[in-house]
Amino acid sequence: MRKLFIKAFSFIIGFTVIFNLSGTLADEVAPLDDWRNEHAGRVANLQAKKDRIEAVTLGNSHSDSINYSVLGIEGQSLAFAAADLFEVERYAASLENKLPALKTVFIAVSYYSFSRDNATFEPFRTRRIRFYSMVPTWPPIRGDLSVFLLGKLDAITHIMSVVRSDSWKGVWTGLANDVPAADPFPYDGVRSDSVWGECYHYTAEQLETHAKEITRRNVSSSRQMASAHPALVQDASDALARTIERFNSRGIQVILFTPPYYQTYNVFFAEQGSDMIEDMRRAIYNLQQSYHVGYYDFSGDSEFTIYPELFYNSDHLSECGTRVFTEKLLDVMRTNGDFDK
Amino acid sequence: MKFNTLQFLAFFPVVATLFFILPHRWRWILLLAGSYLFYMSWNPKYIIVLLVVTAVGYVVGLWLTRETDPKTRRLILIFGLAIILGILFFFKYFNETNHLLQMFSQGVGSDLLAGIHVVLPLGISFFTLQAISYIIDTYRGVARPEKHAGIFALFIAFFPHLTAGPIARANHLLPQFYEPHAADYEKIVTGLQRMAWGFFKKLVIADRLALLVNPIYDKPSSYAGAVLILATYAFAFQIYCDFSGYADIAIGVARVMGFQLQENFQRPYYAQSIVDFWRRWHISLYNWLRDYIFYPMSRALHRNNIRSKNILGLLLPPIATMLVSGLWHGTNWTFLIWGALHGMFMVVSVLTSRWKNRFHLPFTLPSHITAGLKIIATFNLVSFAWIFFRANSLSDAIYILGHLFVNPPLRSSLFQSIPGGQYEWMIALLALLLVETVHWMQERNGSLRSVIRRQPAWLRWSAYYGLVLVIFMFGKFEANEFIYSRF
Repeated sequence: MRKLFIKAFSFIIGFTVIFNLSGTLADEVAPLDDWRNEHAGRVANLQAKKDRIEAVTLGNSHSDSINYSVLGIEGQSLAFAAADLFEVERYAASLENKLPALKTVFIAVSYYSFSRDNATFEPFRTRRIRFYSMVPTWPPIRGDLSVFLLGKLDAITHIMSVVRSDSWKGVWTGLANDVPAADPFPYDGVRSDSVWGECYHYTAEQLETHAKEITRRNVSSSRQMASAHPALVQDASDALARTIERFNSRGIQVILFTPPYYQTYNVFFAEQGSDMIEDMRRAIYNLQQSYHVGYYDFSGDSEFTIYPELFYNSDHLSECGTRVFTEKLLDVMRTNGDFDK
Repeated sequence: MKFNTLQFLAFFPVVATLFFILPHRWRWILLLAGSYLFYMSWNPKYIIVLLVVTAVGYVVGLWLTRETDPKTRRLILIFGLAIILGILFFFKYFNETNHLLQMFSQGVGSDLLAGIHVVLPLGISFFTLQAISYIIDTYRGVARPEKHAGIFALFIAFFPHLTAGPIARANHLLPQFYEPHAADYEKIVTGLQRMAWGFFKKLVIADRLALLVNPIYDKPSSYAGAVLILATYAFAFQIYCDFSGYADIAIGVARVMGFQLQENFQRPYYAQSIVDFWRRWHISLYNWLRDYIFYPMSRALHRNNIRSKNILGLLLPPIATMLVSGLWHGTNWTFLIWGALHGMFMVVSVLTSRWKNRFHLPFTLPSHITAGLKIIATFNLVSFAWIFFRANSLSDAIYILGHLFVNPPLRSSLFQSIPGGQYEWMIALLALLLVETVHWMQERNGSLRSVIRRQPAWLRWSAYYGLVLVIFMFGKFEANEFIYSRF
């Protein structure tokens, strides 16, 4: 047995070295969207301003529509791409007692928010693993133990640098070209001077092309998730309800909002996923009835939807768009008495 | 709990460590508790099914030994088999039968059966067959009845083979639970190697091929004939790597603890005939079908003087056996046709064997060429039958068959429509090449282990590091279920 232990120990040590070298090489050649660095930056910022932060944004990338400098309060976005409502709930739990000055939480609700469960299949599952790796949360989301363990393992070992959802394709491509892999999502929009100032945005043609592709992807992936997770709408709705309850019990106000989408995005989404939009509106209505939570729907607001300059792409506002949107949101919230700053 | 989950990777080292720490007399309790935990992690309430099958097997086994009257023993046997087969049939075929009954009941204005859906307990097709073989062997006096209820329960529920075999025989496995397995370096190392090889087959090849095959078989009408052919061959390797990967992991897990499970695969795609294929594919099921269906049926026909005189005597045993094999997989027509095809291939193989022996070519082919041609022919017949096995419905299977040679030229534009992309196919192909190289070495040299053992340490360790790293780099870690755990 002594022989076994010595060999097993040597194997593990050797493998750890090889594993880490491989991961480091892979990260060097094809970084994993820089998500670890981005999160480290957020954590550092939260830590530095924890006594001053009055508002945070949770949810998927649509949550980044809020510009805190316009809102005039100390706030931070904790949104990350493709986050689902189960992850939002866990993120909310991880903030418990960490931000003493927190008064408001903004949560973006997209058309498909109630039809998402990232744990169901790749590449979304990798996002869930990243979530667990980044966010100090316990227990795992129901039925999600493997992904949870993998995420926590990654927090310690950076295993995801080796276990890559692209099966190392990016690394080989990067090595073959002898240059770091190109940004997988290079921005190919235009810059223009507009009444809102200098805006980086997609042209109308680009927005239409993008809308067609992104709605197809969003609707089809949501349908796949719904088929893999029975009663997904109800479960997601319950997760959001628990999130609202958690914040309300500590006297923190929750504001739900749907940001503006470019007109063609709305058209294509309605064509393919009108049932999802219905589910979303029904769920929000029920939550409003139960918790009197504020909800602001700008998805079809024609002050935004027809202006390409306000859109980074068809379902995300440009920097100009976030400024204009935040100003309008602020106005409406003040009118409704939801915001007293 | 599936083998390809982190839960299992945490569960197994704990069980194995405790197994070696505990004194021999307590080990069965640990293994039984571990096996039930393993099973209940899937769905706790279905442990009742496992317990009932265990109880019936145990009681009937003891009852048979106490009874000496042949008629009573026969009745006990029928009683035991009826209960276990009843359980198997209820869970396995209720939904299909209910579907038919619903159609009938709706016709007479009743919806009494609507909405009733029975979930198939994990591994039921395997542990019921194991219990049946135990009862029959005890009846025949081939197996010694197990008096220790705990050991018998462990024989049925032993976690490495619980969900997808290999289907163990009482004579082979039961005595092993009485042996005091000391921690053996050689067994632990070879067990871990076998597990790693199984994970490689499952995670790198089978789950990757599934991503490529599933979209094509889910919507065959969207693809050209060449792509359908490619998907069919890919499925042949997917199911092999999936199922044999499971068997490798199961055998490796058992071996680490000192147990020897029966081999379930013997490089099946090297078979030179369909009969040979079934000696190499899912061996434990084939042996089961052979011992409890084929031989008894052949003997019965022989007793009635049918076998030698009547074509029925020749056709019935193989076709009936393979139909049962198809039915064991499910009630879908596709499985039945798959079974029937294999039965017919076997009959044709037997019928033409005499003719083949008399047939002489005007020239002599080297034996390895002849063997190669036979292997190719058998592989193509097996792949042809896989179309029915994999197709989602009979109409899909018929569509695929009718369109295999429609738009056949392999143009680059065709490949662009193949799901997964060239990179994923390339990885699958390279990994298969590795598997086939290992198979080829095994066919030539017998045990690969002895070949590995002869290599210098640096080469062996590099190979181990390489294999584990490749699993991490190219594995699909989505905890996909093993195909055969559905049965």
